[in-house]
Order: sequence, then structure tokens, then C-alpha cells
Amino acid sequence: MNRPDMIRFPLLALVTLGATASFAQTPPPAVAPTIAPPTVQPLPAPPPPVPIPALSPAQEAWANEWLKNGAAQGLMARRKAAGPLKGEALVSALLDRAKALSTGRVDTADFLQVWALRPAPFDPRPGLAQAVSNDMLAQWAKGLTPPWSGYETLRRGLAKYEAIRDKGGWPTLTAASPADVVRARIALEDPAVTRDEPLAQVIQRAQRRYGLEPTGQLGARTLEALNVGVNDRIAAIMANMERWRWMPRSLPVNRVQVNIAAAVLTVFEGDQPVTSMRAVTGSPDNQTPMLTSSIHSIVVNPPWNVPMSIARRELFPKGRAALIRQGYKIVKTPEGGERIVQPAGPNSALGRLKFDFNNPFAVYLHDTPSRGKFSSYDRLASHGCVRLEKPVALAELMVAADPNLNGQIQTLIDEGKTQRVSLPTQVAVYLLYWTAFANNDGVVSFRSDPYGWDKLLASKIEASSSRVDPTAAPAPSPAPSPAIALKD
Amino acid sequence: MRKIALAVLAGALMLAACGKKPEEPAATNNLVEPPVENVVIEEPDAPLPEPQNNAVATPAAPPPSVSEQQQILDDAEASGMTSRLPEGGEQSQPADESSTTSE
Repeated sequence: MNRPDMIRFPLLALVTLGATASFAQTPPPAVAPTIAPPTVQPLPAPPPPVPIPALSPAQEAWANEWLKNGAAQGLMARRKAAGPLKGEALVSALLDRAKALSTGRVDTADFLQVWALRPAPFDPRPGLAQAVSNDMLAQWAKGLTPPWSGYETLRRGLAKYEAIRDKGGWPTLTAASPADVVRARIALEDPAVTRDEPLAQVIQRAQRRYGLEPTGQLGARTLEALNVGVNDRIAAIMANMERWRWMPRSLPVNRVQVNIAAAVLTVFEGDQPVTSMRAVTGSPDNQTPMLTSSIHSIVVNPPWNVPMSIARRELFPKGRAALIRQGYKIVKTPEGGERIVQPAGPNSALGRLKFDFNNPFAVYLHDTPSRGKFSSYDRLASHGCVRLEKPVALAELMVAADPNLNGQIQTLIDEGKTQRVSLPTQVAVYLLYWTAFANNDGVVSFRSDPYGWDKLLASKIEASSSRVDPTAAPAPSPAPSPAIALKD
Repeated sequence: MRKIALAVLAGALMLAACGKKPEEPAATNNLVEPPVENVVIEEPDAPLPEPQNNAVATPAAPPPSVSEQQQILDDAEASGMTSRLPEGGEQSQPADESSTTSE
């Protein structure tokens, strides 16, 4: 068979390539949106800042009104009454707000390393200067926020949850709560609830919104999700709106998006979702990083070059004899050390397919022999890689444009050889962390915050807002107000 | 001789009658609880079922049927709704006072 785009590697060559990085089969190159390597060349002097023309009284009035929407955009939990700003103070506040809306309130220097999906640098001065000159401040402002429906639906959801909070929140439920109370509680978030609808159906819909098994019964986990306080839900929405600001302003029409927190993957073709599948993502101790990259090839029947961290922690303690009995190979490294390789085969931790993309964390999408986890509703269990429920279907989609490879993935697997298949076109991949997302009806779904990133990010947003935004009230004290303490 | 025998027999019968202690009435001690096994407890009637108004009593429901297409849409929503808003959409509208928080 003529397969010009398929490059075959013998097993040993792949093993040698993989020695450079933990999971890596290829050396990890730099990825544009992730952390840039340090440079030794001196930076050129920055150009002088673009001057901002003086605002007219009407523009000042509009700008002061516009600055009040920080809380509505999730940039602060509460805003304070601030007098109208003028002159430099007003311009400074506008620039700060524009930057916050465009690329996030939190400075990338304050990011965790695993938050490797980073916004492109943005200078708001030229745009503001032009908007003032052309008297088009409103149009300028509309272009600042993320252009994605995921952001806009969350913005509407935020207003809804703030209204719930301002009315006192919701009651704490127990397993013995009367049905009417449960129904009323869920109806606060779900406008589809009706008086005559079976309660089990109402609960099932809530369970689906929380990513729980839809039993229709008020079990412990369902109660736990329903009893998360409204302030925590607001913080989650704010954190997710901030993450939307980190997203690029344009996306390739063909892409793979993974929600790490929900452990689910969706494939978009022509900007439309065409298939989806369950995934297994990193456990809280082995967090899957947020990042973007491009899948360039698929390794069929991949061996697993065990990362040294995993080898030291989980494998070497078993003893050499046990490892060899289990099929592992212990290989000498050029530096005189040893590492562990699990040869390709049905029991390889990487399964039969590995989707390679450049990233500095040595994480990939791959098959797995442990299929049972996909039927679970708790699927954060990997060492950081993303295991796929339907890897063959995904691979077939990616090679479909190549007539020599179309429909051949299973055949290649059955051949048993380790070989790398270059994709006809690279496919963008986005590893994202969404714990709150809303539909067009304003119904917000939540996932638990398995990595604890929401609270961390919400606190960073609040701290940044309090520090630099003149319209932001200080972050509330940890103790909630009495009204909320009773109701939350 | 016969008279002597009758007299001995009569005397023996009298002694026997005197030697037999009269049956004492059962002692009654009101300070001691009777053994449990001897207490007859009348079982109460089975309680009536509680009104079925709490959530625990909700019967298990069959899993909702979700079409493959709907599942893809749900998963797409969870993976991040990256459909682009129309130009001049609702984003960045001036503050809506009804949705802002307390001062």
C-alpha cells in the first residue's frame, strides 16, 4: 500500500526518541501560547505610549457609566459607589478596564505554570485613542469582551445568580427535605421546573447539570451539589469568565476541545461539533494543564516510556523482577541511569493510539486498556494525559482527508507494528478547564472544581480588582453576611 | 392385738399429716421487676406509612434517554461554547442596574 504520509519507525527508534521527556515520544518543542523560553537578547526600547485625547464631557459621562459594569462582567464580586472620574484618573481606569475585559484581570505573571493557555499581549491605548478621536467609545467597548457565546451566556448567568444571592440565596436541603422544598430549590436555577413534573425528573435534570449520575434520587452527592452556596457559584462563574478572556480571538474551524474538569472531549469540524466522547483526565495530584497546541501525528501501537517521576514513585518500588514479570523493560540511559519502557501491546498504558502534540508538559491524548473508567461519572484519574473513550473514531476523523489512510486505522493497529502516522492537516487541540457553562436559555451547569483552581482564580481576580480598579469594593471578608450564612 | 395395730396406724397417719407443711402462698415482692420473658407485651398496631412528601422517597428513575446528537451538543457546551457572537451582540452593554450588586 502506498502511504506517502506515513512514516514508520522501528520500536527502538521510538523508545530512544521518548527518552528525552516523561511521556514524550518526540522532543517537546516550544508552543506559541505557552510559556516562552527566556531570551538573552536585550529587548528594544518600547515605543512611547500612544497619547489619549482629552475626553469630551459627554464622553466622560458615558465612560463613568460604563465603568460601573465591572461587576456585571465578573471582574469583581461587588462594586463600590465611586464618584465620577475625570482626566488622567478616568483614562487610567478606562485603560485598566479595557485590558481586564480583553485579556483578563489577573496578570499572566500571577498564573500557575499549568495555566499555559495564556492571552496574547494587548495594549488598549491605540484603540482607546482612536475611539475618543472618532467619538466611538461604545463601539470600542463592545469589541473588548471575548466574542464567544460561552462568555456571553455566562455573563447572563452571573446576573441571574447575583439576583438569587441578593434575594437571600437558597435553603440547605437534607435527605428528608419535603418534595416541594426540593422542587422550589431546583427551580431557582432551572426555569423548566413545573409543579406537575415528577420530582425524579426534576432531580435528574439537576444531576445532569452537575455532571452526576442521573438517578433521580436525592443522594449524598446531589445534596452536596445543591448545597454549594450561591456565593461559591458566583465565584465559579467569575473564574470561568476570566478563563474565557484567555482564549484566542479566533479559532481554527477544525479543532478538538477538552474540558478537563468535566472529562469530556468534543471534535469540531467546520466550526460545528461533529462528535464527542468521554475522557479520563488528570487526577487532582496529577493535574492536566490548560494549553493549546496542534496534533501533528498519531503513533499507532505506541510503547510507553514511563516518566521518571512515575517510575520512581510507582514502579521501581515493586522491584525489578516484578516489573519484568509484568512485561516492563528496564533500559540503560546514556547518562548511566535506568528508565522503564512498557512495550507496545494490548496492555500498554497508552493503548493502541497516541495523538502527539507539542507541549512542555509531556501530556497527550491516547487510548487506554482501562476501559471501565469511562462508564464512571468520576473520571479524573490519569497522570495528566487525556485518555479517550473512542480513539479509533477520533483518529479516523483526523486522517479522513488522506485517501491512503482513510479507514485504515484499525488495519494499522492490527498489524501490531509501532508506526507514526502524520496527519494530512494538523488539528488544533485545546485543553480547557470549565467548571461553569451556560446554555442559551441561561441555565448554568456546574462541575466540581477538582483542582481547586476556581477559588484560587476568583481570589486573584478580587485581589487585582481591589488593587487597581477604583470602582471595585474591597473583597468581602471570609465570613459571609448573616443573611447568606443562614440561607446558603 | 388388732386394736394396737389400728392405734399405731392412726398415730402414724396423724404424724404424717402434721409433718406435711401447709402450702405457703406465693411471695409477692413489688420491688422486683418480673422476668422479661414472663411479661406479656401487647404489640402495637403497625404504624401507618408517613406521607410520601420527602425526597428520599423518590423512586429511582430510569436514566433519561438522550439522543446521540443531543449528547454531542451537551458535550460541546461543556467543552466550551465557541460559537462566535454576531457582530454588535449583547456583550459589553452598559451596566444593567438590575444585575449589579449592592453598593
